[in-house]
Amino acid sequence: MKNRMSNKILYALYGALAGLFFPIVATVLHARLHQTPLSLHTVIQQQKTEDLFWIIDMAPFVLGILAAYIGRNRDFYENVLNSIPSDIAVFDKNHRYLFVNPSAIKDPVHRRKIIGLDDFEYCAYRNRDAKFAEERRNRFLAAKSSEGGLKWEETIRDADGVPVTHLRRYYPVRDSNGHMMIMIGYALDISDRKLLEEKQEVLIKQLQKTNRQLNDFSNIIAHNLRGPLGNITSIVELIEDLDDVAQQKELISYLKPCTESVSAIFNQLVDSLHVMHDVDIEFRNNDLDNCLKLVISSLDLEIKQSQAKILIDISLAREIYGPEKYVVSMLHNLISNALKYRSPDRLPVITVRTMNEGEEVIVSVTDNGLGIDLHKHGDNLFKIGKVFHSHPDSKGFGLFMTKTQVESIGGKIWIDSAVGKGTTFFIMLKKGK
Amino acid sequence: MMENVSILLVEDDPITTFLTKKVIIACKAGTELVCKANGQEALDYIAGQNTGALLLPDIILLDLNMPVLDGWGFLDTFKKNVNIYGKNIALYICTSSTAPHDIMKAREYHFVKDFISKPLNTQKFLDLLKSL
Repeated sequence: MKNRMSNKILYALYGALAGLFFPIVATVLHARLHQTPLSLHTVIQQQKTEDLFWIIDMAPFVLGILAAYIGRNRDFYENVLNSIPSDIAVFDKNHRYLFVNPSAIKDPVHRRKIIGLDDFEYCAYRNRDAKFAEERRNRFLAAKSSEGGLKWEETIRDADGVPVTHLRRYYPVRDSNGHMMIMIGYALDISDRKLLEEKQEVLIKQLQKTNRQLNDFSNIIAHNLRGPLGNITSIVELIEDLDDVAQQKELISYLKPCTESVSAIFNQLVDSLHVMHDVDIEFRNNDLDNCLKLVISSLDLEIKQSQAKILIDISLAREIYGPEKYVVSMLHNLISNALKYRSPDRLPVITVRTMNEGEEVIVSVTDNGLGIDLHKHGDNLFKIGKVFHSHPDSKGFGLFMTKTQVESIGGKIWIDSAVGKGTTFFIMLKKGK
Repeated sequence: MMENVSILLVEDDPITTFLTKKVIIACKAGTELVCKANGQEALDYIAGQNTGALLLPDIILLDLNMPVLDGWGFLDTFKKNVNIYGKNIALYICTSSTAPHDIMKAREYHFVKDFISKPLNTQKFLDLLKSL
């Protein structure tokens, strides 16, 4: 309170002094404008004759009151701006700093220094990368030419290396002609919110994944178990209605494949559940050469019978990071499919290749077999129980399980195929460490 | 109720085929049944029979999930030729799928009369015959 009072008195005194000096300033200005030296008395006399005497008489008081008023308001607004826990800066139309609050620059020395500078000069003063200034200049120009200003998020690392995210905005203030007078820049620290958003995003992704898995499961139950279970029910009803033992026996013989089918689907589901939730499975570097030798030796009979040629080119990447049994199982399924769905018109040629993709390796298995119409079957390709070619051993489990394994360890699987020409399956997994 | 109808069953599962045959025989509706194991075999059969409306089936019972050419593939080709058959063939989708998107998709084919969930039993089959 005392301070405020003393400020008022001070501003009144400044005003009074300014009022007293007004005639002197006017004398000098007049002399400069009219190129004629004038005495102070003459100026006062002339002004009196021009009915302006009251200004001179009242000047000390009017200016005193104005200065006190402006000073008080300036104090008030500066206090408000300095107390806001957001970064605030005001720029002139050339992007030079007019005002910066302590939240934006804590150090009072730097805060004083920046006034009148632009970002390039301030970066040079603080030994910072000019890229930062360039980026800010581009945003300033974009905001200047925009109607409602510019809003963006910016993440930088603080002195401790912790990421800090700000929501920034440049807002142009224009005169009645639409010309920009000043630009107000402000920034709000949204690091906590950002962190929360990131956690929520991870959680949403996990929930989406779980939901998708549950959906897949209910679809599998609805579509794949309904068929054989319905058949079992029908057979039992028919047996009940029959008196003839021979006919009953015939019907009973049909029960076995139904129960086997239910059992096989059920086991696949249990296995896939195990794969999806096996958090303890051991990840390791897998030598692809060894894995392929293992797969080829287990498919030896089929390879010989089909006279297939297996070509291997893994010179670009030789190791894959993941659980060994999954890597072997994936390769086994893909090569086994290539043999199973070979074309009757030519001897099968199966090529296994690797290529690098950043931190990942893409393994491709290409065949010259029957091919799949992706336009028709693309959506169902990896679903359980889906079979696209007639083959006695086709159950529609292989690709379902391969996809489950690939995705459970963070990989991706996709296909390229042309009917009558062949198919390539691609698997993307982590590179060996 | 329509009698002496000819039926084409398009189904890859031999047990389902066997059971459907049993149901149709049990209904004693004097029906004639032809079975084909996938959509392509069924289309080939229809093309072979398309020399006269009398040789074409009155009813087609179509499964959706089949190898070589599935039910949807069959429907697409059937749709192109439906006007040249010169016969109003009643087509029923007979599947274990109850997925709403399958039912919606089936409705896009104007000649699909209904969506029957497997297994086919005598009641369902008699209702089907009554609706003809």
